[in-house]
Amino acid sequence: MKKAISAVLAATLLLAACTTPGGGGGGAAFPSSTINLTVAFGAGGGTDLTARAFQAAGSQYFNDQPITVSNVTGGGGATWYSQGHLQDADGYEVTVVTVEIVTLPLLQDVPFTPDDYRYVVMMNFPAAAITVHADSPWYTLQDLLDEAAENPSQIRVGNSGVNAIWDLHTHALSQAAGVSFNHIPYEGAAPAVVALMAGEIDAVAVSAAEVSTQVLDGTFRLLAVAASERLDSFPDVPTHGELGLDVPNIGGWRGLALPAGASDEVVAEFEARAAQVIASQEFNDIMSGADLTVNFLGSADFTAYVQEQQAFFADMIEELGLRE
Amino acid sequence: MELELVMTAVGNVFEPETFITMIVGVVLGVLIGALPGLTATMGVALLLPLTFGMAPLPGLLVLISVFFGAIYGGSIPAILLKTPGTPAAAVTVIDGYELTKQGLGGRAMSISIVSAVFGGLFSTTVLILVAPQLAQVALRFNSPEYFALALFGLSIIISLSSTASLSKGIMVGLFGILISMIGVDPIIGVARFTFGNINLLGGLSFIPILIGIFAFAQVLVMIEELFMGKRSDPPMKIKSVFPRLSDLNRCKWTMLRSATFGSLMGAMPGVGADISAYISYNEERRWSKHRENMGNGEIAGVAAPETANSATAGGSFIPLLTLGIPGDAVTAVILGALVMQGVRPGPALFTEQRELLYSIFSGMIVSNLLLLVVAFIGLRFFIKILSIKKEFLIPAVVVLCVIGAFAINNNIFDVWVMLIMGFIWYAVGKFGFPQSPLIIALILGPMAEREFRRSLVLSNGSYSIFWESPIVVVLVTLAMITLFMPVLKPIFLKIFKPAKPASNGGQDNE
Repeated sequence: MKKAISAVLAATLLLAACTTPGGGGGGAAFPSSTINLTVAFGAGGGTDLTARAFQAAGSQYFNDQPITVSNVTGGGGATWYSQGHLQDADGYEVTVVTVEIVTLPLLQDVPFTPDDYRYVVMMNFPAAAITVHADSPWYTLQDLLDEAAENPSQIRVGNSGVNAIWDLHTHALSQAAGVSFNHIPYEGAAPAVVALMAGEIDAVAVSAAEVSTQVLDGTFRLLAVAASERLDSFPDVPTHGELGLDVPNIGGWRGLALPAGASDEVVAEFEARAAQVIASQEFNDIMSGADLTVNFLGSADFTAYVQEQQAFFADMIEELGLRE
Repeated sequence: MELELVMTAVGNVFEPETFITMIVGVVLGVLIGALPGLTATMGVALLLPLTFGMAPLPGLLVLISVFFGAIYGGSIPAILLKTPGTPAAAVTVIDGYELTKQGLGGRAMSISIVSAVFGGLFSTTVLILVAPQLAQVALRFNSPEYFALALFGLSIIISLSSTASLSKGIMVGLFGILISMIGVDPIIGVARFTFGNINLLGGLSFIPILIGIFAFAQVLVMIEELFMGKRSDPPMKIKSVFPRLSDLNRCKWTMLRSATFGSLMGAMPGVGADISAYISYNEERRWSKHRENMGNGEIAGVAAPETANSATAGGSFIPLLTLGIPGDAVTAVILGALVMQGVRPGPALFTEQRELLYSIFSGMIVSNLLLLVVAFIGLRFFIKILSIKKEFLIPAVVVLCVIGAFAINNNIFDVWVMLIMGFIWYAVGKFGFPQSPLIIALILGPMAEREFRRSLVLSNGSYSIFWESPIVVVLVTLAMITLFMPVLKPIFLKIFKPAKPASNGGQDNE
């Protein structure tokens, strides 16, 4: 009996150990102990997969120190983003940051700002896209926008959640095109994709990766992507810019960040090693396997980009009156 | 040709690497499911990075084995300790623990194993035979239909409460709906009842509440009994751990009905094993020959939810494999694994990658058969929990409660939620307030609200979206009948048996 109980307990502790952020240690050569990545979203999502790809490929570039991934979820990312910047700034406690770190403080009352973090590397940029059912009469984005102009607020565009990044993209698109949509929120991208398949909505505004299965098998038609260049995975799909729409690159970008207190040396050291991971074959293989692109930005560019995004979303959210 | 394909597929599953990882997967799954707070989702997610380096088939089958193992594993503490290991096993507590108190825990455990395996095999068969057709039917369920389904599910609160106290059940249900409204509003994004607390933005997590009101509240009851020197539970002798033929015979229709319900509900994206377990249990209270006995330690009351939740697990592969749509969190992780291995679910999988598809099917069947063996071997050990002295059991369960509540989000706030809900339930439980309505309300209340409001957004505010759908009309009618049954029943009885005065007075068993 005791055996059974102790086996159960051992298993629990083992699992707990795998998921609990441990203390980092200082040392002469960085890194000298475990690197802990914390994801503010659930296991199995794109952010989690990106972190786990970094984990799988990364150890050898960090002096063979183990890399752990844990998920502290809640509040659409707010739960961890309000704690992540309070961790030790020695480079061992890393937050996997996403675009929500910029949008949440603009939309809600949360105890963090994007300035509480130092941005080290961007790893991935899934671009927003507009997708319709293959049976629909819309073959280009212009078709859809014309229809929306004739019937204001009648075209139903699904998204992964109210004011989530794909919803904000729909707002930006309708602003740029001078039309209005009926925004339909779902609990994540998957239910929104189901709704488009079932014909409950007219279009879905999630990333191209999230609809690639249905686009490739001919159920859906991808109309346009909100990126500066066409996607490698869908070279026939035009960008918003090509269609003459002034929409900036909007996407659920993902990267790594340290608390604001991290020194320049720590950031530089981490950036150098992380850049090697992101350039590695293994990382790229895992990412492409998961339908995720690799979009590297170093610390300086990433920081500048975050500031740019902050200004853009602040204007947009102000103009649309989205803040509660 | 067909036969050759099947032979190759079965052969693939019995490749040593694949077969051994599946055994490991089933064992891990059962343990993860049996530990409250460690869910199937978490188990599958933890193993996901390990599968990156594996060949596609063993990588996928280890995750599938964990999934089936965990769904079964949840029933172990539900039956033995009144503590569901997973939300899907919450309803198993009702009759399962009652049986344990009567010294029949072994029979409850063995019927739960048989039910889980039967549900898994049945739903896999459904998946093999009619998956593409069923997936198309499931797509007929849109927001208004999901609202109607949630409303129907909520009406179960009434029928589940009628044995204890109707008004208490309704009070608990409304309390559940109230606390389920905490957090950011699903349609317009406004924070509700958060009082500026960051931890409440995402709402209260369900698992810590589940652990609090079942496991922790039960620990408090045990502590009280210990200090009062009360030995209320008789020493539990386990006579046999093998299922009796009479038990199997008693449950055969229950299992068949629940497996059918479970598979169908699994095919609908967005209906999880927890919901289908409650609905099946309730349908058995309506249709089973043994319905009078349900709630008082009825074997069929264990078989129904356990068959249904495993069948739902298998059924959730229907939208996953045919449409590439994950129906719940676990299949979302499995979808990630599939894509990562270069397998693109959808119609093409059924035409172009048939060897892999048939290997997955064979693997699902084999993992259920492995579960049968592993579970019966494990049963001999698990059942000994009953002979542990309370003094040793209590600290162990407290540790599990805290770890489980913490592990779900890695957030200490959830531990407080668990403790507070446990104390509340320890107190109100003394007055006969049932737990089930709270669980049902927490699962289905948010679903009913968001689907109702989304329907209205879709229709630009017109309520006609609801009665345009025949499915909605049928489900809402059923919900209304269930809802007003306590009022209607005496009237019916009066009409049909005028001599006998109908009275509910005798049912007050507090």
